[in-house]
Amino acid sequence: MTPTPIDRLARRAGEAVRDRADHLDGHRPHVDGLRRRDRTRRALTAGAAVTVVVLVALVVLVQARPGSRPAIGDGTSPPPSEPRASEEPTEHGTPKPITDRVRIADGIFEGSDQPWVLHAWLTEPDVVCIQLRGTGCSTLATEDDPLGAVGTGMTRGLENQGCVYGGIDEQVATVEVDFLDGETVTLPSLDGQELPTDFYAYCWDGSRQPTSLRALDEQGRVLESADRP
Amino acid sequence: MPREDVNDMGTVVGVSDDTLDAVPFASFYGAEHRHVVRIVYALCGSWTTAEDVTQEAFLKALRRWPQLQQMDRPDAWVRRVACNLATSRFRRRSIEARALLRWRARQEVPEPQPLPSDLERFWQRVRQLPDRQAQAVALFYADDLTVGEVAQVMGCAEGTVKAHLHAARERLRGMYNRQEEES
Repeated sequence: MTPTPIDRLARRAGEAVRDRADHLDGHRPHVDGLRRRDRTRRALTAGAAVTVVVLVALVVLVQARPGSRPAIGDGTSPPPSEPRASEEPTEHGTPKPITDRVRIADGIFEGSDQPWVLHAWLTEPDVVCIQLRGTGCSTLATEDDPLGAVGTGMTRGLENQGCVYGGIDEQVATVEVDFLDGETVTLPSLDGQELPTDFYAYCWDGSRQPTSLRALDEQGRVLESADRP
Repeated sequence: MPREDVNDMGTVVGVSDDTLDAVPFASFYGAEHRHVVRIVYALCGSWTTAEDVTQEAFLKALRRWPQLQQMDRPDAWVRRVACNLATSRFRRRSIEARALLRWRARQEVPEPQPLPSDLERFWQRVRQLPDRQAQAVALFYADDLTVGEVAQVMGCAEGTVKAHLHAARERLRGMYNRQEEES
C-alpha cells in the first residue's frame, strides 16, 4: 500500500520525536530519584492524613467541652441549631447586664435557692432554648415541676451543660429558670443583677430555625426583640 | 515492542533500596523511559511536561510493581497510564505546574533541539484530535508500535485502532486542506 502524504509526514514527525526523546533519555532522572519522590509523596500524604485526624480530633474535643454547645435533652426535645456567630455571646468580652437582654422578674421557684423568672413572649415558638455560657445549670424540670405548667411537651435540662429546652405552645410564656451554682461559678442573686456570664435565649419554630424571641416586662412591654429571618 | 539497552543497570544493582524488586524495576524503567517520553511529548508538546508525566507514570508503576510484574506486558500498562495522564487536561495541568517548578530548579538538562516547524505543526494538529485518535497516532507514529501493540496499550481491538488511525488521518488531511484553501 502506497503511503499517503499524511502518512509520510506522520512517519517523519514520529521519527523526529524519537530522535529527540533518545537524546533526552541520556539525561533521564535516575531511578533513585523516582524512589525518593515516591517516599516524599507518601510522607506528604501521611502528614496530610495525620493533620486531618488531629484537626478532626480538636474539633470534636472543642465541641465536647461543657457549655460549648447546647445540650440536647433526653431526645424528646428537638435539638436546636447552633446560634450563629453574630448571635453568640462573647465568652471573653464583658458580659452584658442580663436586664438588657431579657427581663428577670421576681419569681418563686419552689425548692430553689435562687429563684429567677424569665418572662418571654415567643412569637411562633414550639421550643425555647435558654443557654448559659460557662455556668452549671440545674435540671430544669421534669413533667411534674413548675415549668410543666407553661406549656406542653416539657423541658429537659442537663446538669452542668448550661442549657435547657422548653416546649411551649402558648404565645405568652413564663419560663422559670433555676440557676444554681455551677462547679466554679457563683451566680449573683435576684433581679436586675448581672450574671457572671452571658445569657441568651433562642426559640425555634418547627423546622428548628431560629425565629424570634421577645422579652416582656411584667406590663407586657417589649424589653428585647430578636427577630430572625 | 522495541527494547533498548538498559544504561544504568550497573549503578542500579548497588542501589541501597532494599527491596528485591529494585533491579527489575530499574531495568524496566531504563528500558521503557524513552518510549513513554516519546508518546507523552507527542500528546502534550512540551519536553518538560513529557518528562514529568513520564515520571508520574513510572511512579504509579513503582507503587504497583509487585502486581505489574505478574502482568504479561507491564510496558503496555505504563504507556496506557502515561497516555491517560497526557490527555487528561485536568491532571496534566497540575503536573505541568510542578514540572515548571522542577524545570526552573534543574536547567542543566539540555532541551532537545526543536522539531522542524512542519513536523511541530503536525503534532499540534494531532493534539487537536479526539483523545483516542491522538493516542493512537502517538503510539503508532511516535513510539513506532505496530497496530497490535497499540491495541494492547489502548485496551481495544486491532480493528478499533485501525479505525482510529484512519479517522485521524482523514481529519488531519482535512485540516491541511483547509489550511491550503485559506492560504
